[in-house]
Amino acid sequence: MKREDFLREYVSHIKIDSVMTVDKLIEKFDASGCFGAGRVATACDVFEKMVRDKNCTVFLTVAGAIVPAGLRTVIADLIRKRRVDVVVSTAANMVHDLIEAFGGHHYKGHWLVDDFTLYKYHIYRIYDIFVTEEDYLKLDAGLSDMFDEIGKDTQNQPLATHEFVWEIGKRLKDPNSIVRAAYETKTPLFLPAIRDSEFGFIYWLYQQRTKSKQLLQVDAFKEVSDIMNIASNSDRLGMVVLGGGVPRNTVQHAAVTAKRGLDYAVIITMDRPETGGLSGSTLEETISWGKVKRTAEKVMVIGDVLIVFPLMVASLEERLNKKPL
Amino acid sequence: MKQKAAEKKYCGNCSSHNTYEYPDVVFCMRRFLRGDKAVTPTLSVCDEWRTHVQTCYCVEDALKKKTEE
Repeated sequence: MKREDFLREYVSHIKIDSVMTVDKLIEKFDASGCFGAGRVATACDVFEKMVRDKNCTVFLTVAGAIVPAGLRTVIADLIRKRRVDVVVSTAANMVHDLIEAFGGHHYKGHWLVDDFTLYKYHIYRIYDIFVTEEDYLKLDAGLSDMFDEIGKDTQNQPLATHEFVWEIGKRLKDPNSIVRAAYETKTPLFLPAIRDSEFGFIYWLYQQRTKSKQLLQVDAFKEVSDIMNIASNSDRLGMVVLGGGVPRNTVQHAAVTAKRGLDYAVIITMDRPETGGLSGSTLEETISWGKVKRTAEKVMVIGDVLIVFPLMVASLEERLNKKPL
Repeated sequence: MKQKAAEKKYCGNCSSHNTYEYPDVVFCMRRFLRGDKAVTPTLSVCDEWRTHVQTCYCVEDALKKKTEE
């Protein structure tokens, strides 16, 4: 490369005005093109492309305490508006969705508190969010009864996790619930590590209490063929990863096993690659597996999901408002 | 602490309790698992009372509220 090849484009300095919309700010990020701002702008472009691509199946993966931190409505709205086609989540996030669907709340707290005092008040802390024990208990009792009902309805037939989620969603009334939105739109919402959550404990409660011979059964392997079929039957695949973890791995694994590779990928994470974990692994690394195509439109944003993702969604909605699908 | 707990037994300082409507009402996991009515007053007690290893404020706050009423 010649010297001038490195010096093609100036950094355009970000100018803020008083009537700036989110997407206008993202345009300025794109013009500056640097650090996280540049990556957020690219993320918005890639997200828009995969949503506009009629032949692309868009997977949204959800990990980390995103729902209790305030993204419940963002995710439910994305499902209802069909901006995403499949959701793969940690079960804990859906537990928090259901806590609110059952009338509970998450409270603004602080990370500098006496945790033993919280313990004595039966208040649980998730960094700077508080949740009361009674809101968990009301969920435990309510869902335990619901499991009994689902067991009787499904008559010992094993359910995949997305089928199980739809059965719960069928019985909810909360229009803001992610699980309810997934049921109403028949959006598959997979919970690949469902046992590792309050669902596992509630299942134990239900088993202890039920007198029914028609038992709820959730088969962790059953959904593998469903997710494989989705990946295999799609012309193109896109993923938006919030956090990482098991949900990210599920989608990437489906993409490579279906011999497809992802065509679009956006990852928002705070994790780093140096310790070898999946959540911090780079999109470049995924190319070596065939999980993401070498030619894919992709970007990894190192940032707080609670800051970056609302910006991305706001930018997308603005763009879709100007030029609808 | 154990002696104090043994002197005044309540559902609210039993090891089977969780909060339900703080501080007046608790949830008894033991009864729930049996299929019995699990929601019970904090200041109630039954023969199956077991000491709570680390005390909480449920009883203290329930008693305070009762005194105020």
